[in-house]
Order: sequence, then C-alpha cells, then structure tokens
Amino acid sequence: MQIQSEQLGPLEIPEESVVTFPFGIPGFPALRKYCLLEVKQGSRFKLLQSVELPALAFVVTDPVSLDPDYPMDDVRRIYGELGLDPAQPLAIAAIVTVPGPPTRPTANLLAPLVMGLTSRVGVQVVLHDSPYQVRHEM
Amino acid sequence: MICSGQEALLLTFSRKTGQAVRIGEDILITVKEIRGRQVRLMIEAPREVPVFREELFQQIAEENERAARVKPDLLEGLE
Repeated sequence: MQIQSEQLGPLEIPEESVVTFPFGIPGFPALRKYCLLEVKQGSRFKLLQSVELPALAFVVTDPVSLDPDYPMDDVRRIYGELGLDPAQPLAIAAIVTVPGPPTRPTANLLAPLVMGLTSRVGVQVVLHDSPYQVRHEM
Repeated sequence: MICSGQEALLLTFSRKTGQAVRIGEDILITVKEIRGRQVRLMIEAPREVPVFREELFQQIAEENERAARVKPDLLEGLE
C-alpha cells in the first residue's frame, strides 16, 4: 500500500511489513497499524510510521545501544505474559522524544515497543519495578 | 478518563474488604485491604488485558504524545 509520510514523503509499504498493535499505543488507542522504516542507512534511529495516520511517526532506537545491560529477557517474558509468542524473533525499540535544540533527545526505556517479527504483533510493554524512566538522557 | 471515542459508562460503588467488582465475564477487582487512605486491590484479568497504574499509563501516554511530534527537519539532525 502507498502512504504519504509527513517525515519521509510518499512510501510504498509492503503488506507483510505492517505490525499490528492490538491495544494501540498509549495516547493513540485507535491506531493499530505501524511499519518500522529505515530513515538513513547506518543511522541508529528508525521511524515507526503509522500506516493509518501518515502524520504520525515515532523516532525509535535500539535500547541496548543506550544501555548494554538492558533487560531483554524481562522484555521477552513480559511480551509472553500478554499472551503473545515470546519464542519468535523480536524487534525491541525505545521511543525517542526529539524536542529540538537546545533540549537533548531522550529515550523511553521504561516502556519499550516489542514487535514479533513472525506474528507481526506489537505492544508497548512496561518494565515495572525497574530503574528505567520514560525520559532517559541520551 | 477513558477516551476511546466510544460512549463510556460511569459507575461508583461502595465496597468493603473482601468484596469485589466484576467487569464483563472475566475481570474481577477485589478489595484486599483498606488501611487509612490506602486501599490494596487485587485484579484478576485475562493476561492479554493490559493493566497499568493510572499515573504510569498517563505518563507513558503523555511521553508518546510528545514523541509523536516529529518534525522532518529534526529527523535530519539525528545520526
């Protein structure tokens, strides 16, 4: 399908690359379908683009690049506890807030996005009782 | 506040320790303990139903809303 991304212009999105968030993403409960896109080759940032609302996109990054000890096992366990298949390959992404200069970007390490690469089902999980915050200084 | 775009039902109950409220067939909220100004609740729900402390849900939703305002020129500056 073709969408007109506000950030990246016109895009052709293959159906099989769409990830469905059955609960939506907090703040955006009505929107369920997203697609993870490369912004620039070699960049550590990607764009999670809403398929349903072309004006909506999130900058995301790999949380392990920000904290090598990021608890991927806990993330996988929580994904499984939601009734989703934790045995498949997962893409795990932290949403980055880019307020613009002079304020530095922050990453939400408390509530990462977890996307099953086989099931194409995603959810924003919460690392309860962890030291992480929604605004981790990058 | 529930903002799903659908009409919401608003109910207020009085419950004692040990009493519960059932929501639909399969969500049960039981008052476990009342101590001063604090109440301990037990929530039984299907595991696919996300359960959050409200202030945590709001914090995450607000941060998502801040993060969603991505301007194309700011994207250019990210390496």
